[in-house]
Amino acid sequence: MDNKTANSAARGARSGRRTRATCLLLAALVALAAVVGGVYGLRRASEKRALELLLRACARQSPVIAEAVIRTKLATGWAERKARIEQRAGRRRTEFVEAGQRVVLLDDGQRRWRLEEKRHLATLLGPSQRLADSALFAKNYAVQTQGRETVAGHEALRLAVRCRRTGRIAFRVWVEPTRAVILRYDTFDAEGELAAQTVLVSADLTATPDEQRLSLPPDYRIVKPEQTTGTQMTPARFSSQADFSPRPPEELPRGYVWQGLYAYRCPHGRLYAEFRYTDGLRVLSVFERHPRGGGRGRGPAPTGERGRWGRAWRDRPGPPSSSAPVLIDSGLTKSLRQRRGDLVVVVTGDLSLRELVRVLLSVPEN
Amino acid sequence: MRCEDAQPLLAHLAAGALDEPLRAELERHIRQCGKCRREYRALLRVGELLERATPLAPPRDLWPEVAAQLTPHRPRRAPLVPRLALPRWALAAALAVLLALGGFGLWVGHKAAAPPIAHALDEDAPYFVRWNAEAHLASAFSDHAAWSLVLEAVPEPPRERQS
Amino acid sequence: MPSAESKNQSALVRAASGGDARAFEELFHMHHVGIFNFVLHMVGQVEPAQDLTQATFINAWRALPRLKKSEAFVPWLFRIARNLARDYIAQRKEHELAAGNIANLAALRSDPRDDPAQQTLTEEQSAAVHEAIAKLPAHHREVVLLHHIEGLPVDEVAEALGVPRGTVLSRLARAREALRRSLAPLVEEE
Repeated sequence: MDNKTANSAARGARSGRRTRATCLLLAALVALAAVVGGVYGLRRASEKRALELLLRACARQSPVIAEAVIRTKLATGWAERKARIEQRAGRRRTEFVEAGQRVVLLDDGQRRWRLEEKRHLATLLGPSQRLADSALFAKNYAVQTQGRETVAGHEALRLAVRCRRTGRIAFRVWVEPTRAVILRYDTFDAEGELAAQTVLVSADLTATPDEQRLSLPPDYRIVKPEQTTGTQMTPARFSSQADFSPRPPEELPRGYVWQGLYAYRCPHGRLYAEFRYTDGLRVLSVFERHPRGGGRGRGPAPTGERGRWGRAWRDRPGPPSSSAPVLIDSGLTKSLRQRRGDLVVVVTGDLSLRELVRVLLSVPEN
Repeated sequence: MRCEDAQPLLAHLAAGALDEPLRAELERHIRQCGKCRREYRALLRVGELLERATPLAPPRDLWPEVAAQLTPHRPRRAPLVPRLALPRWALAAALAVLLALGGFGLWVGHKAAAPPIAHALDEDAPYFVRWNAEAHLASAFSDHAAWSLVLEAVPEPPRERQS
Repeated sequence: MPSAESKNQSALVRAASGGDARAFEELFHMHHVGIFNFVLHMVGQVEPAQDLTQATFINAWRALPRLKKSEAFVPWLFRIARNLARDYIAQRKEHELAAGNIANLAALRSDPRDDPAQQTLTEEQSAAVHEAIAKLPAHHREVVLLHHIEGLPVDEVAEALGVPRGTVLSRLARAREALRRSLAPLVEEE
């Protein structure tokens, strides 16, 4: 009699323990999900705030007068320059000494200039910097806050901007959060290596730069070099004017969108068509020219825009090439060149070599 | 020769435009005719004035902008042959290529799927690299100061003369 | 031009043709004032004349490898300048020197000649000469500038302008007649 009761009691106790364990496990899973969800939500919110801060900082609205050190990686090694930086309301002046001469780079809100004070000369470099497509930038780059540091005596938030496609950091900025001023900027190349650095060593965030110093001097002689930014036109118009029909690549890295076709003529007289793409930060250029530099090409004219591309990579057997691609490394960026049918194609951009190859080989041969 | 025949020819004589028989005849007339002689001297003095007039100088130094536009001439031999006579931009590019070869060798070891790629020089490289970089610089997200300095250092024609 | 100087110039031209920018700089300093005066008298304004002077040398640098005879450099250079100036004039539809620009010409300082022994005119006299040249028709002005101001021999003037030698001589004579009248106070005996 005692054994039956004992066995029944034991069975009841074991069943109770299993139920409790199951409930605990479920509760733990729910808690974990809540934590993960919460963390994810917080992270997204944090990224959103970081992006907003970055956008404000890149607009360069707050007044700054600062001394800076700029380090840049060239083909021959690192170069360092001392510079004075002034900015206000989207305009910016960078002054440094190059080969014994004082050079000023001025962004007056409309255009960028190179000023030479001794000769009262202003060379047009291109249009003013713009936050052209911040939505595209946000789609392709994630901005994360990484902590606080002191730069030039000011407390700054360190932001890392990571390429979503490659997972690598594209640049880091240290931003004074109250006034949204960039105190330090580290640029990385497509392989994740440091390529350039601008570090403010002293910064007055209360002084206002002189209005005249942020404007083009009226008595300066203006020089407009022949080719600065290229002439934008449709592929059809280019073909009618150039007697060769450029062909866009059929594969692009994910996140890159079409910006336009630009025509250039280099000082040697060769005419180039550039298919330009951007991911919101970096620019991919596919230059094409006739092998003889502008004579008659073969092949049909383009039938129109190909539309937005963004499809992921897919394996595609390429047609036989006219010649093997060659690498041209200028130290600033890599370019790949190949004869593709009746055109010479050069792909230039801050991409990995593998990605450059894929873009190049996707340009049709006819 | 009469004065009315000689007068229209005096300027031609002073300019050295007359052939021999006519020139000698005119000179003989000038020796005999005071009026024509005075006119001839005046015409000679025009030439002296012109030759002694100082040319006008351009107000500013024109050389630096010209120097900035002096792109290297197209090499007559295959650009892949490395020579000390190459312009500096080509030497810098060649050095970069050699450096990249070292890195490229390591890269190939890690990413075996990439096709083998030869290295080359291109005389238009400074231009299409610059055009691509300028497009990049147009974005406010890029570091204006650093990129501008990099572009300043991109191999290109000889820099301006120091004054 | 003395023989030693021509030999030196030919050597510079050959070096520049091979890509030697320093040699080209020497050539620039030898001829840029002459080119400037030439184009200035053609277009009548200082700023465009400076631009055209620069454009002349930039074009010359690019085309230099195609120049077959280094001895022909100077007339070839002036031919480039002339073509550029003519294109400019055609675009601007200005065929004669505007009277208002003569004052600007007079305000430009003179460039001292290389030979200190050569007796030069006063600033006032030089200005009068330049004003008188400015009043000449274009085809007379060209030959006077090339032959008298720049010092090119008649054959080189002919080569620069792409006209026969006889035409150059004829134009020089007619130009001299016209200048005789406009420079009367300076050339007549007292």
